[in-house]
Amino acid sequence: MNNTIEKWRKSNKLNKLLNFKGFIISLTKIENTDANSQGPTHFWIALAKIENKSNLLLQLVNESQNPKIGDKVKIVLRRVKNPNKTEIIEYGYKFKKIN
Amino acid sequence: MINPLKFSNVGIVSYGVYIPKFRIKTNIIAEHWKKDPLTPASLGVKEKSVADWDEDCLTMALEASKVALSKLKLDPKKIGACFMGSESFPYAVKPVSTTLASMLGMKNEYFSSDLQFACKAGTSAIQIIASMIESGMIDYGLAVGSDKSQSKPNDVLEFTAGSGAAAYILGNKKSKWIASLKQTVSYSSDTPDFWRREKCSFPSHAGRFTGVPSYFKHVKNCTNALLNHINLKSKDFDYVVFHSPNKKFPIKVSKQLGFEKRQLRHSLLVENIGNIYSGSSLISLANVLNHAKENEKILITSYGSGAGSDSFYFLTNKFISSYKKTQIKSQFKNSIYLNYSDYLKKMNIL
Amino acid sequence: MKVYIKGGYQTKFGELWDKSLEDLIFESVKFALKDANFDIKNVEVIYIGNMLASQIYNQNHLNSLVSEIFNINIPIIRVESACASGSVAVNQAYTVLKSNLYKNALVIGVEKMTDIPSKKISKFLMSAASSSERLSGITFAGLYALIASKYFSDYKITSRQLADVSIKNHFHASLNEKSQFPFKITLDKYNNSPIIASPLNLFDCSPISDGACTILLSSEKQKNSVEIVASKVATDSISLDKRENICEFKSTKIAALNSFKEAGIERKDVDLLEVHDCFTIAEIIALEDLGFYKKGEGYRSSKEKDSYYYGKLPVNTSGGLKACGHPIAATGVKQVLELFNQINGRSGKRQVKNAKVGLAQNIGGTGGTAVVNILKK
Repeated sequence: MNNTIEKWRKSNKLNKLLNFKGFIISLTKIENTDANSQGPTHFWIALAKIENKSNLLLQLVNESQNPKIGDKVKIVLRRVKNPNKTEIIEYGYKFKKIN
Repeated sequence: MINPLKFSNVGIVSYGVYIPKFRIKTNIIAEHWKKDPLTPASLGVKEKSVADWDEDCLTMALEASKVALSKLKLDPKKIGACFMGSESFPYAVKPVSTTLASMLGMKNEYFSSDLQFACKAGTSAIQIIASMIESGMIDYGLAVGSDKSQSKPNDVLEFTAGSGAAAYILGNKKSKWIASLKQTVSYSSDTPDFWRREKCSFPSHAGRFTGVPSYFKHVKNCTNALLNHINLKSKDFDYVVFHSPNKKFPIKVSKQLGFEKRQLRHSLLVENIGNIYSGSSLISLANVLNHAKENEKILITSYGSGAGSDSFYFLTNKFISSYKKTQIKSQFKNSIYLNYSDYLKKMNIL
Repeated sequence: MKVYIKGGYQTKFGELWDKSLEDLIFESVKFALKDANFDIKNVEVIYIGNMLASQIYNQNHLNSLVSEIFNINIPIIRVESACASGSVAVNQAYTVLKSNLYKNALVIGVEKMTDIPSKKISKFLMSAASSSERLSGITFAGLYALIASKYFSDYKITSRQLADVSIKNHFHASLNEKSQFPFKITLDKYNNSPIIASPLNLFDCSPISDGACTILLSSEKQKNSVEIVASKVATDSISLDKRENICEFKSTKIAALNSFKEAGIERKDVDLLEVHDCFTIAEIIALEDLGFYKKGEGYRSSKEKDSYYYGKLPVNTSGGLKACGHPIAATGVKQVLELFNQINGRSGKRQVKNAKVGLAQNIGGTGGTAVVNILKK
């Protein structure tokens, strides 16, 4: 369970890769989300090669429908889970398909 | 009592708009509640934008701000203020504007606050930043209006409360101005037309009281006050933008103020995105700026319940023609339409 | 100094509702010592592999727990390397005997996972992955699904080839009374199972299991001792996105290279394998990383039936992780015990003929740790 200070340390670095682009090298749709107390029950995860950087593994935002290996993506900021009533909201990177 | 200050050091240098991809048609909402589809039809709103479960006023503000910054070769460290207006801040105590500033790479020496004044919180941000620039306190400032607008299921507001954000960077370098700010004025009162109590998820409103004694009174008085201060008439303006809680109100108030329908062009996006609360007038203004030419006069009056209006007179500059336009209408394409239960999940109601 | 296995015991793997963590430890140790004809009083050191007791039961300090169970005061060391905990424990015991510091060592691998909902277990299992992977919401099935997805794209295989692996492992498990799923499956059953993380379905994924396995290592040879001729550990990045190629595990390749060198044997000398099929794709990749099949051809092992106990190179005669079950830290020890039993001719209906040399490969996470143990008569 992430604590507040750990979230803060992470969030201080979040401006670094925003809007960076890449392309998908592997993809999976998580269908059975026993583990996931975070948000929707079905979502895509992509491994993408990021321009001038190495690979990154991130969730795809819901509006990026029918993703395929080779699709271009960019990095955006989203909530990583539905927070409970008292905790600090945690934000993180996700991929969004771009044309 | 406001002293009519002629601004000479403030202009819009860049702007950005973000509208989420998801939509829900208002007749789907009406069908679900077995309501007369004439109700949303009469409001003039066909569909509204819906932010996803993992979006909030911060993530949308960031998207809009990033767009604004991308059009400008400006080091974010030079931005001296970040003010954000919203009705859907996720915290009752803890600023979101500082998170936004941090994500944009602003350094720590900047003015900042989260602003609350219903749908005019975004334009309040513009006024504060304009004042700071005019006085010489800062060179550049970021003003944002962003909302994941809340509405109670089965309430009439549900037809119009949409999601989105607009970000404006204002600055004092004339050579970078898309439009200069000439004048601004506000008209405020204590009017309980629409409110949301602490710990409540959804706002309440006083029905028809939100009309004449609220929206119309403040928008008209504020606009007239501005026109008096600057000694211009409604016909002198190329464009006018009014806050759009629906499509009916801005059309009606513009008529009452002596504006023609033509002057409202490009400002009525409410039909397809709904009322984006603090973002509403600023998104409409952005679409107008996307179409405006050099040396055109724009009047914009926002409205925030509770209540108050901010009016602004902008004059477009020659730089507007070479400014790379913010993609607004393209964000209306390839929308993903939701059914009612998916809409509730995305609004974190279900 | 040579190191031998003298005996061992595996509990049943499965949903063992009436057995606690302590019960599993007790049962596996008691019967392992009986099999080795050895008294606990003479055990000099114990290595206990376990991954999840601290998260599920808030129970650390397992060394002291074992001391309490058996009323002993010898050195006991807890080992954790995610799913490789058991084989790393074997490796540590082997290393300490090789150095002649001790003459014998007991290795316990134990896991009790089924008391809590699978939602929570899946979350705890992600402690074997990186923090950014956890943040993405991905599950372990999702991580291996990403590997499978890339593998399918690069080497043009499909789920049909994964099905062959699952069918084979279930076939072996049907001959192993200790297995969690002692039944065969058909291709239809495989094809009709729900997708867990595309392209992996339920029958591509190893289950959540309880179980324990204990073996006794000794530097003294006796009649049915089997020598551990090599035991090597290697590691790689915890994050999948830090790897150059996600369709191979560098850690397995390095551990294999080093263990073949240490054992002084060649691949053709190996009679059978126990590999880490946490997901079916992992078995295919393991066979390639270990050098038994060319890259992209690991699927042939099960397709051409070579991996069956009667085939050219049997793989996972225990039923593997998929069908024998996967109580995390018990698996690595079970693999070694399976090889020991096969080499000693004790494997009943799934006996591999003339088994003399066996190789076990055990993985932690997505290849963050790999262990290769080689046994020889």
